[in-house]
Amino acid sequence: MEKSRTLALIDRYKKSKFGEQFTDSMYPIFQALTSLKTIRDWIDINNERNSNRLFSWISEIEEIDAETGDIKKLDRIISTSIEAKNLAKIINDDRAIKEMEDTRSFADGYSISHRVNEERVHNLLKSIESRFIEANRLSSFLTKKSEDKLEVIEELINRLKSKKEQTIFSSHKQESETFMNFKSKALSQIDIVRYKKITNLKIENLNRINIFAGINNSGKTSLLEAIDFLINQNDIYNFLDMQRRRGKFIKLNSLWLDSEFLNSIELKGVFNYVPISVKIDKKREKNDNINKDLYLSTIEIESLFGDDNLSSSARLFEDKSEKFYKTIKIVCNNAYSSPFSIQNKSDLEKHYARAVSKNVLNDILDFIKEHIDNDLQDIRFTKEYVETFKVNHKEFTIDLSNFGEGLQRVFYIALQFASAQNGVIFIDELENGLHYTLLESFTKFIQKLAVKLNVQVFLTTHSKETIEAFVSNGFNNEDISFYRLTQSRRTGEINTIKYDSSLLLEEFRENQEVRGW
Amino acid sequence: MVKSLILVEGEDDIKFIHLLLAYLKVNKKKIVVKRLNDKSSFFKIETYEKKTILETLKSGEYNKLLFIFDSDFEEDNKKYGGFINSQREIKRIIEEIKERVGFDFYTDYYIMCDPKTKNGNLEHLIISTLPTEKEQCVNELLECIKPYKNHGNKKIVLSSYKTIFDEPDYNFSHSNYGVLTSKLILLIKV
Repeated sequence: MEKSRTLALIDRYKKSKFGEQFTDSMYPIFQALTSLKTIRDWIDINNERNSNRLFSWISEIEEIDAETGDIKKLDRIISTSIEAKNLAKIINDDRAIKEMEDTRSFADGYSISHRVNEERVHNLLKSIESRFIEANRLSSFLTKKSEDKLEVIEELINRLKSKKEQTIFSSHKQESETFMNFKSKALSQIDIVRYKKITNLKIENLNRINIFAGINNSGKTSLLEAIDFLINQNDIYNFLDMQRRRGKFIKLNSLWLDSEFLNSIELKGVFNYVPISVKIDKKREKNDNINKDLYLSTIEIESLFGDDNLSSSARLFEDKSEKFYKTIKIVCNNAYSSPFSIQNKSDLEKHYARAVSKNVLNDILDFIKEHIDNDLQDIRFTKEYVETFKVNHKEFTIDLSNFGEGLQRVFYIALQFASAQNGVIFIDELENGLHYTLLESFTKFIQKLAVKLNVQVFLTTHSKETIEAFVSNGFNNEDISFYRLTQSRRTGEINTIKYDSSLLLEEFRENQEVRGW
Repeated sequence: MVKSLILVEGEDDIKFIHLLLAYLKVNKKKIVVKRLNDKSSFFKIETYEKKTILETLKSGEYNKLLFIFDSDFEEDNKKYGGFINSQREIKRIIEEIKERVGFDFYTDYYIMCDPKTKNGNLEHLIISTLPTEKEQCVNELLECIKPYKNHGNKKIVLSSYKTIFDEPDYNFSHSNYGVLTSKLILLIKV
């Protein structure tokens, strides 16, 4: 019976407009699809429409690029029987299916599915339960330190059980929703009203590749952070993580953040013609329910995307922080790369998974093989003993950390492009760890990735060679804008001086300094 | 560090100015020399916008600006040709630049020409610093080739004289370079 259902579906596929793409290797996918009642019922609900939709997910499709008019081939969304089986979990989740179709990524749709996340929470609690059972067996070894931990856990459980509608406490960040899940014109304008020493800085007509240079302490990294906050809207986790990175902590220190957050932040911009803004402030709440002994202050974020107004907050205590939000929504996918902060392993795993699903991992490995180490065969994320990247080299298999910083930097930056598809990527000090001979090929590779994955790039550099490499590599120079940050000797205000690629080339030909002095 | 900006016309002018600055032992890190490619560019505000000069002045990265360009001949260009036209136009654009920048700052200009006739260009200035008999020799040759109206011949004559007369590159101690030299020295004074 099952075999005949599989063959019947294959027959319908072959008669569809995708029929020429059928190969025998697709049989397991059809078998998986027809074995699941949820999928069979879904197809039967609206037979032809849903069938065609399903077939488009398991086929390559063509799309006309709105900007260039070129025909682009988009890969299959579902290419394995495992993905076909997991489709059953999300097939009735319209939001997840829409995300999957918009991004052409099964992983993206799966990760935001309510049912999948419900299962995830349930599995986490099951694992916590089994660990508690084990901890109970060892209860005679409880110390003061362990008892303090128990109080924290009790508080966490109480809040999890709380049925309050206005505040949602979460110790694990859920996947943020994005406003923009489709190809867009990206960020065209930013207006930093106030962030650190940058005030009233407006930059219009942003490009696909935006390079910021300037002398030390001119505000380059601050500018990058400001744009990051604007894109991440009310994502309180992102804000706190940026502070952790800034302070160079492994774990954020609330006392430090409370003392360092001195001035409110106000940022505005335009994304795909939609006005966006973020305000971040600190206040001291007068709420009687708060434990005043350890309470420091509350960081509040108000974000606006068109008419969509959202907020979130973090209460800072000396020993912890509590986050409150109804929903977190960011403008678009984004990723931040800095040579000065340790990458979170679970984030790296996500970037890796996306690079695999979006078929860019092979491009990255090919680049590394061609330009850095031609004996390198493969790099894989593993969880054997510890979460790490393993490199299959010609004669050995070894942890990626044993290779040079430059190779690692190239790999991690390129991976993050996958997570930034249809969004933005921030790269601080691109040239850090890279030999000058690699710059021309790597900048070209970045530009190609940016086009392939529709990513807008914001990067900082000190290096004249890096800036030159972007224009001299000859790839889509019209996509590049260069900005030098200057601080007015008269007013102290930070401004930018913009160069397009033709002016940059002219300046380089005349051996002029463009990075500032 | 704040720098001074010198604007010149072309590649030959850049080389000349750099040689003069080296002769004067000026700290090159304090000076930027840029070319605007042709004389008319000096008198258009768009030039200073496009080359980010206005913004760099506003930010205070440059605090002094020196314009160096050729006088040329009025008969060749009624608007910009000749000493008087050049002087009028450069004063006008300096005012416009200061208005756009929004505050006053040090500016100066030097018009390259034969000091006696006030016409000509860098080559005429250089020829005027040759020893008299050699200057006369060159001038007679220039007069001789005038009907052929090939302006490129001036450069050929100039580079030829060095080979023929075995002259050093430039005699920067000549009094005819005095005005230009003092303007450059003033530029680097705090």
